[in-house]
Amino acid sequence: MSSHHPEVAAIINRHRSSANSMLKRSQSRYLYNIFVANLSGVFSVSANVDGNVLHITIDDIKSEIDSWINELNTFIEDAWNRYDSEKDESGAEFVRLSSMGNDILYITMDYNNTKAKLDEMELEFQNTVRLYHVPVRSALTDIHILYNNETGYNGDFSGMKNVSVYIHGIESTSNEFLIGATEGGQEGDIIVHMRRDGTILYYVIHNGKAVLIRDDSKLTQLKEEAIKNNGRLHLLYDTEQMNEHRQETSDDLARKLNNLGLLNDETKIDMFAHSYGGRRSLQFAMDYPDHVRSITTIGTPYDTNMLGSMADNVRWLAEWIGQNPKEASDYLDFNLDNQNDVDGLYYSNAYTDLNSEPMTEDLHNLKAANPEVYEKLLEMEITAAAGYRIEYTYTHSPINPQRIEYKTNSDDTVSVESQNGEILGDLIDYRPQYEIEDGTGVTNPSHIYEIEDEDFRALISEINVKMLEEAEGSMEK
Amino acid sequence: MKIGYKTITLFFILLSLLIGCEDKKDMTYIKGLPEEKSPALTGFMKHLITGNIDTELRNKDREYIYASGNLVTGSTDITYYQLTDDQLATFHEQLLQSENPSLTRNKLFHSEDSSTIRKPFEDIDNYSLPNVSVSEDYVINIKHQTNELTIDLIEEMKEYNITNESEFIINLIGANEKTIALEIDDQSNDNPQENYYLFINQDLTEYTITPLNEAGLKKALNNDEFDNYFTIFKGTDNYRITFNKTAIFNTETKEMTPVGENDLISEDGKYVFLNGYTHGSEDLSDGKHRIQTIENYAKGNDIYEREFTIDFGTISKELDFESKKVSIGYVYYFNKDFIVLTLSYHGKIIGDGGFTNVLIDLQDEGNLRAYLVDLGLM
Repeated sequence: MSSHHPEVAAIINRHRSSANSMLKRSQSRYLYNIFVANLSGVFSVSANVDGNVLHITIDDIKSEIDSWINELNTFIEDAWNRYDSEKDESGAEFVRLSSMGNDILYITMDYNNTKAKLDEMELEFQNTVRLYHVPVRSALTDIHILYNNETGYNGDFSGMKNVSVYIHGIESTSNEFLIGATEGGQEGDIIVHMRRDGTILYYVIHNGKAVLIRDDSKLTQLKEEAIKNNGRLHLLYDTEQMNEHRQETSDDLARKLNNLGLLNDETKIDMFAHSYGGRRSLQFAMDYPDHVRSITTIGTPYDTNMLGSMADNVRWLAEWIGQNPKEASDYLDFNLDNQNDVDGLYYSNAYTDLNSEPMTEDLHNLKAANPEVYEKLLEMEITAAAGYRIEYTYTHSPINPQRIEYKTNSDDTVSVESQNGEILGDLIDYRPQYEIEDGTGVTNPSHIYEIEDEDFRALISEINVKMLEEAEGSMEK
Repeated sequence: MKIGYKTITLFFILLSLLIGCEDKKDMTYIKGLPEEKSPALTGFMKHLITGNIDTELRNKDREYIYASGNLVTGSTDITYYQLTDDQLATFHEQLLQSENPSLTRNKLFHSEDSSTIRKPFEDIDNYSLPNVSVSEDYVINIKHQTNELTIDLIEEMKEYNITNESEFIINLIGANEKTIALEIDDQSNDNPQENYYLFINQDLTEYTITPLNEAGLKKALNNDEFDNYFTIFKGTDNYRITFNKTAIFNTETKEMTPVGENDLISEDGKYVFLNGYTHGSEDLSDGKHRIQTIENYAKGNDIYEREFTIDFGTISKELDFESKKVSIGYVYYFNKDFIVLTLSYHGKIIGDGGFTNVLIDLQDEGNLRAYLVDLGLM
């Protein structure tokens, strides 16, 4: 440690006391190491940090260091303001102040370096919290579900035995599923539309239309009627962050279904999903296999996806075309490949997922670690539908050129093979392929028209009826 | 040279006229809700609170009386509630002040205020409303201060293959000084066009039950006694619209005009929004739209009450949406001088590009306005 001017030494002595107090308060070994590594040229710290309770607020510490810097700068400014060159004929005072100024400059540089290290520390803390709070949260949700089942908790829709959940893909909402859910439902079925802004709309299917319910007493009456008639609840679900990772969706959906009273032994869930929503559905089924009865997807990239990879790797370009590749929740995947960062803050989202992991990866892990869950997935009815377009080409015959029709091998965004979940092998029970009439190519892909496609809407209807009939059949047996 | 100069001048005059015409906008787009109260906005606010299932029976002295709509079989009575202009103004005010009108509307729907508004009132007689009750086996009892009538629906509807197994949802859909009308929705049939209607005179001395599909309406119109019930249908003096809004009929000539499957009838039954009705995943097109009275529509002439142009591209631009491609587009509400659209846009390449409701105010023909606000009305 170099020697300081006495006035400066007096100031930094106060700073050392302050630093020791902060260390004592925080009991952070990490903070201690940062102080030692960055402030040893200014002062040495001596506080004991062997305590058990860690209490650290980085912003407060940075603010304290800012006050140190401020104090030193104010001190030297005042000193210069007081300086009178006429009285300093020898120039000794000028030299002293200059030297003190240099001293303060070096000290404040060390202080600023310490702040930068604290930013890194904060980022590391945030990343660690992100990484570990997800399994903790999942465990809490599971405990909540167990608690609700044990205590006979009644949510708003407890008693409904048949539930359809509609899940959208990236950059999207569940709005477009309203038509499919209405057509796919039956008279008296209830539709709950949970929008991202927190709005929850309740409808009843009446004469083939979704009628908006405006008061709670009517909703209660309709719910009771639906339960009596073994009706269905259709949940149109907007993810909280539109591009959140499938694991985030699974956890959040479980919480919401649990709060609605729909995660129990009696209630069976049929999931319908578009695009990345299919991965989200499969994740939910892996996490809660006893509650899911069927999964039906269209346009789902079960493999990694080139467009998703591009958006994750060249984010400025994706942003330029209106996508939000950095939009994420607090979820951070353990797989390092399934991560990206914004200024050092790591995240995992739909784009990192599409870039790094085919759905087989988690399924293989599941198969090895939890074969009975994999068996349950095999028992589920899983339909992976694929959309494609029809294009035309002409034969080269100069005399009689003929128009030839052919199927595109993708929906302009996801390959048919990937949509059909070929890599998932016998996990997929049905692999229908539908011509999507709208869409013209990459800039106007047929992928975005799949939810409203007539064939897919008919499939929703068919699965809803089939699952209900099978359930009623097994009840009669 | 002189001719050339004149030609060029004329060319530029024509060009500027042409550009002027092209530039003419017949719709002003405004973000947010209309701030000023107006009869058309009040009409929409009423609809927002009461919806499609409840029926407005009275509209007098800034008070509105509704029959609460039943949506399930086994409902045993018809209940009534009252809505006032003051309540509508409060509702409007709360939406106006909100940063998120969709969320606020949602909260208002499920608030205690909403339950209070819909609380059925007991003193039916004071309002000269019929007291209607339905037994489990669908015997309807209708009473008012001076008379009472009992109708066994199963018995009366045998000619329509109605049996003891049949299940109905029964709603009061009209009550005026001459007639009471009830809708009998047969649950074995999903087609709302196959509903039955019970018409009763106010003395409770006569009644008739009929479907109002094409054949049913034709038969009813050929029966002179049915003339007594004409005033219960919405419409104008000589032109009325069936409850299911599928046909207009002339009360003098008894001539029927089917409503085109793409045309939409207004809430008050007096106007037709040509090509305003969309089916399934079909979307409303933008561009020029026309509105006719049901009378002119029935006459098949070219007289239009309103013509306006709506541009989905401009709306997208105003709201900074990602694309001009509409994924969901339909008319949510249509009444005289006020139309509400639901518009959802595709993203630029994938996903969704934005959602809005569009409140089109046609009250002032010289100043047509479209208010862009997300009320969460899907």
